[in-house]
Amino acid sequence: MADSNDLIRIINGCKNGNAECFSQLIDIYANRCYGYFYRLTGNRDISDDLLSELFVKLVTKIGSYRGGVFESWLFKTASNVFYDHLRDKQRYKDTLAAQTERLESETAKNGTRNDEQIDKLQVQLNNLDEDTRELITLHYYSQLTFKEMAEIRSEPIGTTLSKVHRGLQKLRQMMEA
Amino acid sequence: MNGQNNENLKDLFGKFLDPKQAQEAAEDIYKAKQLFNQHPAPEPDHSFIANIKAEVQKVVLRKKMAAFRMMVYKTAAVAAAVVISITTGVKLLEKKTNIEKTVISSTASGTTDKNNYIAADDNHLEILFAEADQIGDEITALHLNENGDNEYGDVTELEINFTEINADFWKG
Repeated sequence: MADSNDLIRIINGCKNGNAECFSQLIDIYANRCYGYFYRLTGNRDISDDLLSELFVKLVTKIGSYRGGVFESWLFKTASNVFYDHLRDKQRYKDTLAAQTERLESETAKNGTRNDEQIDKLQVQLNNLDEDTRELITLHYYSQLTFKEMAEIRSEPIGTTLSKVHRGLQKLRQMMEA
Repeated sequence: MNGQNNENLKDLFGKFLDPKQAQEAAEDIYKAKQLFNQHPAPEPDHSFIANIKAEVQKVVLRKKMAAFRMMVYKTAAVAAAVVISITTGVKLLEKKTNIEKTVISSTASGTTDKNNYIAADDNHLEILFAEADQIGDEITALHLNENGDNEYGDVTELEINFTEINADFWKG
């Protein structure tokens, strides 16, 4: 993981159009952003598309980053990419319903493989409401503080805390059931 | 980079809940995080990451080319504007110079005519003064009777001269 000085250097390089710096940025954040997209969509192909779209978009949008916590800016952009994708395709509910059905049937069929454990979390995440799922996923993968998350979402920190807490409690209960 | 590690959830929840509830809420968050740690999301393929890097490289190159083209267009536009303004300026200057030349030449020719008129008037005056002097001398001579016996003939001749001079003078 890059320290803050390295990160500043890389971001400045990206702003100056240095392709190598973009490669470094991809190395640092690809896994976390991919996890974020995967937990929101439950689909590797869509996650691939969104990850690619995110980093291509960064090339044109990096100039709008004016300092502050880079992860806040990055994951806000990632969140926008995700919601734009849903709006563009107008298939949010269809996608969620289809993937939940698929994952549930696969879990029932395949027993206790490791992959299935991953999918079990995905199934239960999909049972949460859209806003809570996005919030929990953002909290885990962005590594942002609650204060930073509240700022991204333009809501009071108490609201963010309460939503995440209730959502995670529910998720745990579902996973243990 | 990770502010979350330094975030004291108990204190944070303590602002909204009583201490016992805050403690429980903080523990809930930690346990839920463990759930995610135990069930990691899949990672993107290395080949796919390489493809993204290649795509990003292309986009960066395109962006640079676009920026370069934009700079060229802007420079060309500025250069064209400069050339047009210089050309217009030069043309306006030429026009103004021609007008000034015309005004100066017309003013100069007017002055020459005036000088000529003044010179002509001066000549006439000199002649007039000379003739007046001559008449004055002749009158003086008559008074002194310098011409002897023919005094009436001289006066008549003098009067004729006066009449001629008067007529010449008013003719210009």
